[in-house]
Amino acid sequence: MTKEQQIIRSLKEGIKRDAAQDNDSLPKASASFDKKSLLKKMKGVAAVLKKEDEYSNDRELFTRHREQAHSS
Amino acid sequence: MSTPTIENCLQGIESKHILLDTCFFIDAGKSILLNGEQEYIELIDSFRARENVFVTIFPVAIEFYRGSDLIFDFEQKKNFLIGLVEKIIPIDPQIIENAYQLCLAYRKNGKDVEPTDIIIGATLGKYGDGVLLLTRNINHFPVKILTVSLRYQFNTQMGELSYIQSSKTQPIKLIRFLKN
Repeated sequence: MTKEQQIIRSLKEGIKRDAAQDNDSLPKASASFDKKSLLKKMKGVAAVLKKEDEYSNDRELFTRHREQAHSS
Repeated sequence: MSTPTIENCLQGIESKHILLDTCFFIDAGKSILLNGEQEYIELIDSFRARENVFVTIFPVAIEFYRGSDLIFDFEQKKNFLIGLVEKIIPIDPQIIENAYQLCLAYRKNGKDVEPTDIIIGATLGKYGDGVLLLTRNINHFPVKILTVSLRYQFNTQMGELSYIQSSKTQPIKLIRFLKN
């Protein structure tokens, strides 16, 4: 079996496995809701989105930061 | 007519599953930058108080994650999304078949709809009136094709949020409050 055939077989098995799972059921409401934790995560996302907006308005800044990120 | 309160908007949708659109994750995140986060916390809290369950689909998650250049940024988004939803609904053969049907319906009516929105519509079609879509972008769903009705809607700093409810007989029903 070639490498390509192995990958295809693996993918097919994965699809069958996923299909066999109970994907139709939707979860029930969970009792826990940590507002502080959610707020912290929102703040994290806010910083990321702000940066992405800055990048979309300034391609040079985006390129500079990306080069820095990938070199570090 | 005055703008309804969140409490008024959420009446009658107890225990429903709420499918969050990409704009909700972005708006909720950006609300911090506008000091409007309490509005979103209150909204989320109100849903949870009614035993509503947040879900989404993988295309929405990908749409939200893309654009992150750093693994750290990607993880920030992922932690937020995973922290908010109870399940990312997988795309199964029935949803794919529904998506094909929607593609044809949209095309026949000359509408150009993003793949993510087609999958959202297909997912709503599968689960019937147990799942409602929470989105700001109601124009992304060609309501004329899908014979929708409008009932619930309320405004946030980021814009109007609406619920789109589906049923098996009517593929998508959009419900919102009308604002004066």
